[in-house]
Amino acid sequence: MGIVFTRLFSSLFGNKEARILVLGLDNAGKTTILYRLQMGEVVSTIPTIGFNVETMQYNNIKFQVWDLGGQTSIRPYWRCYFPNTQAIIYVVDSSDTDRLVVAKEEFHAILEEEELKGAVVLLFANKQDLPGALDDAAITEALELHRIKSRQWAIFKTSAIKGDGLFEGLDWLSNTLKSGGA
Amino acid sequence: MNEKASVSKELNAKHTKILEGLVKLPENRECADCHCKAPRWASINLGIFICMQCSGIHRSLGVHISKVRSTTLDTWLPEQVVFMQMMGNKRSNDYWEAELSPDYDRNPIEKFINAKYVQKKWASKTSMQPALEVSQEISVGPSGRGIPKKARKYSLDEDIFSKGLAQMPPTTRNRGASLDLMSDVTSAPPNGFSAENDMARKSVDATTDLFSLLYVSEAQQERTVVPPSRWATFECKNNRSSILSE
Repeated sequence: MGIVFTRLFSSLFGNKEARILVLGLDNAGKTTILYRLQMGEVVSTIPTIGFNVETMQYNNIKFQVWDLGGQTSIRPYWRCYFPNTQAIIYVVDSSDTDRLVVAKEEFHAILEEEELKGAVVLLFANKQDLPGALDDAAITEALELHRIKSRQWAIFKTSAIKGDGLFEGLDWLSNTLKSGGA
Repeated sequence: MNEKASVSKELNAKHTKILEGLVKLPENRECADCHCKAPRWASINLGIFICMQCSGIHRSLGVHISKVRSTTLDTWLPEQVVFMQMMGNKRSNDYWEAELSPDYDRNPIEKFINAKYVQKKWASKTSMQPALEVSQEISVGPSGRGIPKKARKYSLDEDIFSKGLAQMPPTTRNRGASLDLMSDVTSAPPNGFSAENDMARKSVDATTDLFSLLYVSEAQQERTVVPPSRWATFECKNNRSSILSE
């Protein structure tokens, strides 16, 4: 009986689908992260005009991951994708210190969106392989993450090129979603 | 530093117009790296116009080497536009490809771009690297969250994008205050720059006119204008001849 329950339980979770948006400024590394997660490879990318979407199974959760273009004039379209989103992966180029202020403002604007108020937030302090990249603590400070209220969030140092940190982040995300974080 | 400076829609439109003009100049009609036609992307610190394919490669180098923006999808700071006016593909390549033989095989282009800008394999040994420290980005004011203007000229890719989006429900809700207008405007061109600089005057008349418009609107915004030392590269008469091997 217990086994039946376990199977039923895991099959329920196995079917659980989570809609994830990957957001961040242009050239933060969103597309590289998407394909690194999905295919385990570093792909050469060109700027995303529009979006890429991929599904992947991880820790018994089926993730539907949307990677949206980050150029200034296409950021307003992000909100077209907000409804029914369980999690945001916000990617920051940790070496682009000049634009951290912009990254911060965009980030907090996303959090204010009504349609995303139930979404958990995973931040990737990406491009740790590059010279001058700030670490997770510095990014936390620069993005004023202490301002986040009543929402589950976490930040991970990542290098999409090396593959560091991404799956640790995804572990956190799947555990958080399983425990009803979203 | 990091003061919130908004660039009006008008100024943004002006920038778009200037950039549209710049990519039509003979020297900018081909990608600075692969020479394919009609580049619509740019590296704002190298001062070059590049194609979308090469822009992807530039992005992979990291912002300490190249900072990529779209001439049509991104909003620009005045000093970034001015730098593009001053540089362009010819001047930039006069430096970066000074030692490159004209019949060099650029394939594979990833390796070529890496050798050119990271290893500085063919860079001029006699002149300084022309550079502008620019930071931040801008949008078009408090309503910058709106849908991009239909009137804008799109490249083929963007055209597909805009058509695709036309099927989406309209989204007019404003996110509130403008966001990406945080600008750290410490590296604007020096005072009196437009009058003194031969390189700016050297550009075609239309560009020069637009430049003066730009300069005026910038002054109206009462920005803090601090001439960074590197601009001296463009003012120093002794250096100029070596930068411009014309």
